[in-house]
Amino acid sequence: MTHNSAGPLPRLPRRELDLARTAYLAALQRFPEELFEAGRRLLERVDGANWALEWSLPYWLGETFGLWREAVRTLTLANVFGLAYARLQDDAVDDELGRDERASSPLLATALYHLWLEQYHKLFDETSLFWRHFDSYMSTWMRSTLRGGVAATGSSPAPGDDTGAMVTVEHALVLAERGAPLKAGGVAACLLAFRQEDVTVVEAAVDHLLAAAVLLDHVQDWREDLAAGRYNAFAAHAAGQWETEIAGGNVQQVAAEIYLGDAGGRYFALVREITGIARREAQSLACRGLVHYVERLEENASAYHTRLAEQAKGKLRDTVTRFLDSVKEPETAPTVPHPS
Amino acid sequence: MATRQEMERLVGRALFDDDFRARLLDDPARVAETLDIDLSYDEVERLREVNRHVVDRIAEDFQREVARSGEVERLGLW
Repeated sequence: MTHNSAGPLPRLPRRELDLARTAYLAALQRFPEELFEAGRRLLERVDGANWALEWSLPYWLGETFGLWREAVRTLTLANVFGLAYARLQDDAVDDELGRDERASSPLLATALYHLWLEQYHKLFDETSLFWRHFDSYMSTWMRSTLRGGVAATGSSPAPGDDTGAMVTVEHALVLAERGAPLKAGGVAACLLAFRQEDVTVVEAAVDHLLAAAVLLDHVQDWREDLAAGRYNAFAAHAAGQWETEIAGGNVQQVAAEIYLGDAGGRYFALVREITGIARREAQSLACRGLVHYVERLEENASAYHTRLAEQAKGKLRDTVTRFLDSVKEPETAPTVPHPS
Repeated sequence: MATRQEMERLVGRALFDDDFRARLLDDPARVAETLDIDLSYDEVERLREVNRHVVDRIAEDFQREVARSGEVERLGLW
């Protein structure tokens, strides 16, 4: 594995991506023009390049399980509607909707939810086990969204307990609960392929991948999150407080963790641990696409950590050199008038 | 004598912590000892001789810079 290179994550084949986009837009056309436009703009924000797992999971599982093509396309489209719906609701809860979106967003959310369920109704009758899973994921998502995705479980470190400052896999899994609806597409693929025994593994693999993705997002977003008073796992790691929301005022603490603390080495070790679990789960499913995705994620996370450490080290070294070179001006001897 | 890494750890902390910096410049050897770092005579003298006004400004600039901008550009790869 190359730890210094990073590249795009594997994604849905171009043709499938285009089909899903076209089907999404076609379905929204039955709604008023204003909602269609809002839905089109939302689609650009949840595109397949930045949301590779969400767009591709049904395809990868369908390929592994030998599902028929139309079922895979229906599940992919369902995932896109579900992703757009969850994104929109997250924005509303986080108070990130623009003024012009506030009127259309609740209506668009209703339309997206309706279209999302409509896809699953094409594949599952109302007595199917699928709906129990779906309800459970939605409940998890609602609970997590209401508490702002904060890891509210687990224990804070006792005073002086250095080991307690470390986030655990369990904390990260709680942070990932906001992505729970993604599991619906994975479980649907299992049930359609009569692979019910794989449901638990697919759920666990998605949970671990989402947990890793949340931790990695927080490394990149910590400045913005602190400025906005949002919870951030990397800032919490730097502060050694996992239960509480970390608001502004901790910028120096996080920067010190980057510059003086091995650039979040323990934090990235946890990411490695979690992606390692996800990789083994994907391997146990023999899901080639998912394994490839996890491997690329691991490479990118490692490359990011290496670059973060190198750049922090370089900047610190330059500054320390300037610090040590800033010697006092030599004291000049008082001018003594020359005796004439 | 401190290694380069030890010196970076010592001065790095001084860049983030204004009180620590003041104490370090007052008594380099003793403050370094609190981090298990042994300074040579020359290193102690070098720290004693730094210009406090200049290093205060360097630390202020450093703190402002690390608070404002990212170390690594956003990758968008996960």
